[in-house]
Amino acid sequence: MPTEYNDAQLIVACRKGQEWAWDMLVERYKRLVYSIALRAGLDQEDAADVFQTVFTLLVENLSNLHAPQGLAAWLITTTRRTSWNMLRKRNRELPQSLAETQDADSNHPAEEWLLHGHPDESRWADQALVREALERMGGRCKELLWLLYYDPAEPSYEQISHRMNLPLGSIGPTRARCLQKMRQILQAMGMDGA
Amino acid sequence: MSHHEIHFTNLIDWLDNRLDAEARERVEAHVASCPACQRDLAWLQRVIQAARSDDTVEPPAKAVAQVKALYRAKKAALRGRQRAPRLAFAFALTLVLLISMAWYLTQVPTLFAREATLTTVLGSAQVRHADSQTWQEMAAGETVHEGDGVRVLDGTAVLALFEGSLLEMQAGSELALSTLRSGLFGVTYQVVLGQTAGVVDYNVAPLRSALCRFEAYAPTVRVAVHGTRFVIAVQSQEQTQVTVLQGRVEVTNAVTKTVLVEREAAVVPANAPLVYLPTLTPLPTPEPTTTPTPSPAAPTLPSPTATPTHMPALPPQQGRHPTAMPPSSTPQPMPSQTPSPTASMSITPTLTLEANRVSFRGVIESLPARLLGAWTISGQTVWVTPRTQITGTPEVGRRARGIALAIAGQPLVALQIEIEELYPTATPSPGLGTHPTPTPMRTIMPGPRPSPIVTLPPMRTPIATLLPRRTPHRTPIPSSTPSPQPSASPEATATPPALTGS
Repeated sequence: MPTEYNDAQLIVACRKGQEWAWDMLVERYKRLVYSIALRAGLDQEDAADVFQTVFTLLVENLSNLHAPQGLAAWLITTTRRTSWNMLRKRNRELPQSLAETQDADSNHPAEEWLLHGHPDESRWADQALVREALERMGGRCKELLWLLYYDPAEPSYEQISHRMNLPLGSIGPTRARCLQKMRQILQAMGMDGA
Repeated sequence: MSHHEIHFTNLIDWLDNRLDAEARERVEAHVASCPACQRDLAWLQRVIQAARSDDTVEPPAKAVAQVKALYRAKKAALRGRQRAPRLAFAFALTLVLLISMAWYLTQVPTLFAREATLTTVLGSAQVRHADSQTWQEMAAGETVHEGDGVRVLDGTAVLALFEGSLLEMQAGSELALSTLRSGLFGVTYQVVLGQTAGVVDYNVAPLRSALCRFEAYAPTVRVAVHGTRFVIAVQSQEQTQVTVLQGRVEVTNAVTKTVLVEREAAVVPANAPLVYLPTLTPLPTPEPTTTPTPSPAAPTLPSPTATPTHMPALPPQQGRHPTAMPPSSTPQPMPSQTPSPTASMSITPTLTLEANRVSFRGVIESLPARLLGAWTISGQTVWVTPRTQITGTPEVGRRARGIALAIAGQPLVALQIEIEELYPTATPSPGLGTHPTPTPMRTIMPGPRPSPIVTLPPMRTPIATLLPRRTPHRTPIPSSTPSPQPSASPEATATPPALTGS
């Protein structure tokens, strides 16, 4: 029995009442949904409401998802619209306020991307899968790739060698092996092009 | 991983900008002409960029837990919705199969063995079970089954079949219950009886469907029934008489197959054509009578001389025909007459197919709670059985009339009881009493009823007399055949001739 499942497999399992599949879906996309709500300018409380609303819609539409492989796109779109509704509910002057709200990353007005989509949406979906793959690798691979690509401090190879007690010359080959392993995991998770 | 001189590690180093200029140029030159390396590089760029740009935030643990719990709460409903169509289909399929099976089982008339119950025994009745060779005494309430035999040695007994038919067995009669079977719910059934001796009055319930069968075999005849009442009298092993009182029966012997309709009778020899008997004619509804003089305590049972062989007999001495009424009876109000509880019941021998029947009338003095059991009518005990046909509303103090079985030493067993309507009855009139009445009882005819009068319903089973056919086109009764003897009874001479015209 494989330990990695793509979205379509998890949706089917959810339809059959498999709780573990639902938990896996939530773990995979929880940061994606919550972070989109935050990027929309909502505070943490409203973002949490959006988070619950989106997954409520998902659980209610499990039987109606015609393209389970597009779950990430469905979640992103649903989160954008839910966030938009939440913003309108919170502030009657939302259009004017949003015009002044800037997305820190993309420099796109929130109103624009909330209504019509964000150019980085595919990358947001990749982030969810890559992070899950990292979690699944575990061990020294997870630690090494975290230090290399996730650590905001961006430690040097010497720092990484020291922290992981790993010879400096082994970091490169180890990194390559870990990325190959991640590639296999992402392939199993259905990431296209992996 | 490419298998060229450029390894996956070199591509990662190139992405991480960890190559010197020479190595960097070598990698770029190679990748430019290596599609596999280009795909590897594109994937590495995509993953590493996603990782480095990942600024997503972990949602509150509480919100995550609530979302996970949300699914568990919806799970039951979700699975229920998924199962509902399958369950509905399975239920519908099962229902269709059950209905089909039940319908099929209802159409098989021989599926289940059924039973008959001896409801009334006046005298001695015996049963011989299918697995036995000996006859055992039988009491009312006992059941008999397919394959059993029933006979009546003395008196009379009523056998109620499972499908509602009532067989009144006379003394000396014997029945073999050859087939007592039905399908599911009794929708279809088959009853085949073998009558080897005696007289049995068949009151057959209407057949419930075309698949139902009711047949009675006598030594010389097979009678197929379609809901009717008829009498089979086995006169000998070579001759049987069939009399149809209601409905129609199909009569078949070795040489003839014909249908007898209501009020037809025939003698069926073993190997000869049927001999039709004169047509039976129903008697008019008896008029109310009173008994001015109390009769003796015990009813005088009629002598069976009128119908010694259970053949229909002619002399209708009970009741009066309209022509026997006074010719100048003009309608006039009658003083109301309350029936006297102490008045004796009048019991009159009837002109019936069986000699042991009497008509009676009198005032109801007591009634059982559910009507079944002993009634007291003008001091006499009359037993009412489930077979007794009652018309009207029985109440103490009201006048009743009817037909009963009279067995020596036994109380009367009512076959029919009519509760007379309350209306002004006649004051005994000398003129009315002077008409020739052959009955041993003196009766007084009431005058015409004042209008409006609720007319009594006619008897369901008319008492019949034998009258010659208007156009006798069938074989006359041979002299050897037991036939009505009009002169055998003195009452016969008193039969109003106008009856023949009815």
